[in-house]
Amino acid sequence: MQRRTAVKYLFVVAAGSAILPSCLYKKDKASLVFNHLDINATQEKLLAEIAETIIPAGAAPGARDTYAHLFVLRMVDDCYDAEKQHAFLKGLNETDGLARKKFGTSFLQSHKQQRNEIVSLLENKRASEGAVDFYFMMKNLTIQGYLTSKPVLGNIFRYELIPGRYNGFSPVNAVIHQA
Amino acid sequence: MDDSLKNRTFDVIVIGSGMSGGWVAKECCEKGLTTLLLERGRDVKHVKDYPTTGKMPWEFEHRGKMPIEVTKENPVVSRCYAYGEATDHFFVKDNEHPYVQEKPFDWIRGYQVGGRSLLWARQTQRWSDYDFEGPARDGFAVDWPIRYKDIAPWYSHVEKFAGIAGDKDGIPQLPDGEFLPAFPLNCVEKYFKEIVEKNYTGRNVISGRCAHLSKPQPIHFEQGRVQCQNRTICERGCPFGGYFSSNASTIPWAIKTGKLSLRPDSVVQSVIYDQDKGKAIGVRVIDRIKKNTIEYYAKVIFVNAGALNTNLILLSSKSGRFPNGLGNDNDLLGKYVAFHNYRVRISAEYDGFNELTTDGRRPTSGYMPRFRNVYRQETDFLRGYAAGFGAYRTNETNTEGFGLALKQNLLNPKLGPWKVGSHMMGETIPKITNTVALDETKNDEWGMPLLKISMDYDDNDEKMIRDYTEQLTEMFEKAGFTDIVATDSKQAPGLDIHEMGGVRMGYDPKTSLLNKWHQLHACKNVFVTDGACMTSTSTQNPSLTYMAFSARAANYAVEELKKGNL
Repeated sequence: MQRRTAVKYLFVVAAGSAILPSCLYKKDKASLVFNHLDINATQEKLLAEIAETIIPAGAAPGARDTYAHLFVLRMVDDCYDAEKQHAFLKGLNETDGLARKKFGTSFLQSHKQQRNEIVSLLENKRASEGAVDFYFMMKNLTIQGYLTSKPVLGNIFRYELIPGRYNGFSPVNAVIHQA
Repeated sequence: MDDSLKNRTFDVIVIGSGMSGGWVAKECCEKGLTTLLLERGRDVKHVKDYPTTGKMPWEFEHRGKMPIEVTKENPVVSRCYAYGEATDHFFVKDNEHPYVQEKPFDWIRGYQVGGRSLLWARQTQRWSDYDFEGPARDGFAVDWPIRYKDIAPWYSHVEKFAGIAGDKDGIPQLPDGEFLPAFPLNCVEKYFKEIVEKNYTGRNVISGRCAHLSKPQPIHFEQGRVQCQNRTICERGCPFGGYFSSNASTIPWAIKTGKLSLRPDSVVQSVIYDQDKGKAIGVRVIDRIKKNTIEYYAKVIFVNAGALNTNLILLSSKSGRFPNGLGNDNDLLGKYVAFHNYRVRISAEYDGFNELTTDGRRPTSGYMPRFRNVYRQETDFLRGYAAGFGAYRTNETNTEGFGLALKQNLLNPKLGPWKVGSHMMGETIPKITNTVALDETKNDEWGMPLLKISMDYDDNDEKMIRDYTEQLTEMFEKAGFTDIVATDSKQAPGLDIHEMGGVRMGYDPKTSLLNKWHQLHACKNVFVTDGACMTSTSTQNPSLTYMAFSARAANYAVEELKKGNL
């Protein structure tokens, strides 16, 4: 199973690198096409790193492994109104500004400890209102994307499309609960 | 198929391929009649046209949610619980097929082969004489021209073929049927059942009977259907044929006879009435795509377009003899429409059975048959309500913080307490003031007048809402449930998706449209066996009754044709 997944990812990577050269002429282009959001590759990377700081990889996959930041972008682009989209981008910039102000470097260039400090400020609402609003929108969507991703919902929680059973008297310990 | 008159002439035309139309087509084809089944929407073939049925949650870009532009443009369909990214293609969008809301009405529609039989909630409870005798006993609407004994064998007929899971509960107001094994209640539901049945006479909690193959029989295998796999994503269409739909069951069965012609993309403009012959001779169709008009002819016509659209077609079928719509001599066509009152939900928690939970999924839940005013009038409102009842546990995840600590919590959710919930299914009283009619000025893309809908709750409904809330709260308290919260959604009529009436049955042509065989009093070769025929609504989910009505009326039509009476 794991081998098969690894093979699948190989294909994704291969496909990606096959397409990549033709896109290179447009510098700093995001990897998704958006209907509303104006997002460049740097911002996309920034979101990926914020997501990864919220849910870091370890023994189990982290946010980046599940492409949670792309889910966040897809949702913000399609399922939120213009006002929320604007607030999201504004808050993202304010968050990056927070890193520059505090460490004199962008969030992307700051090291892990510094990133944690920034996210800690946001988590404890010790930042501008815009940055804090952005953060919780980002965090909630990151969690949703992470928990419903294939690596997590499929491989860890073993989501069943076809359970084929129902037991209404099941001992708690006997059940792996699906998120 | 060329368009020669011969190729446009059939024994029977059935308008609408949903729950009831599929049954009429099946019965007529089995009896050897050439049958044309018309469907206004596109074709949906079993399995092949269920594009989302095998998708994992992560394969949906928005994890089930619809883009905000869609929900803003389509507020009505967006309010439906079953509508979302996985089912979008089976629902009519508001702006595709507009209608006029004189009063707020959420009209939820599925224009495709199979209609809403793909999307229904699959609950199948029989009516009893306590339902059929309601109008006569309580003095509203008109007396039903049939009783339980007329329909009972047809309930059995359709139950065996469709496959209904349920227990024989021996409850007078909810007759037992031909059941496959029930999906069992879970520990908390069973506990609640014991509390209710110990504390009250005449109140029961049972496993909701549902159209799922818990243990398929040869007749189901013959349809190409196999056991329900407890997926509970039924509204996407089921590749196993685990639940009953026209697409999985009646339509392929009818096709196998070689007698069925299925014509999707056929918007019926009117039923054609021949004054000299004194009967209907066919149907005028507008091709949905090409927009040309074409006529089909038959000896018998069944109008099964879905309750409100059946009203629309009959109202639009004007002739010298019937200037106000086919069969509408008494001007009651489109009047006395009704629905089910689903406004209130009650939720609570239960601190017990903490060592138990549920495993797997189940396509039904608990059900409380009507217990109010069953044997005699005992409250300050007429009729009563049934109630759904379910218990479940969900994960509770601590989302505080960030980093590895957060991840640890996300990956190790705690099992929350048992939660219980109930929703009401109230009978509403058909009134002359609840109506559908043709809009005088506005037409749709096919030149059909828009339907103008005017339905509302009344004082009886409000009283029933209060009683349901009080009674369920009391029963919940007796069971030791805590944090009891009742919510009145104030939802508009229509969202129950149980719209009924407008072409009601009755004995007297002066006060009803259809006779006891579902024939228009004034035009005997036109039958109506969908929700439009309903004289009263009772509390049960209506589809099973439509199926039984359809099978019964179709077999009657076959007999009458043989005798040369139609």
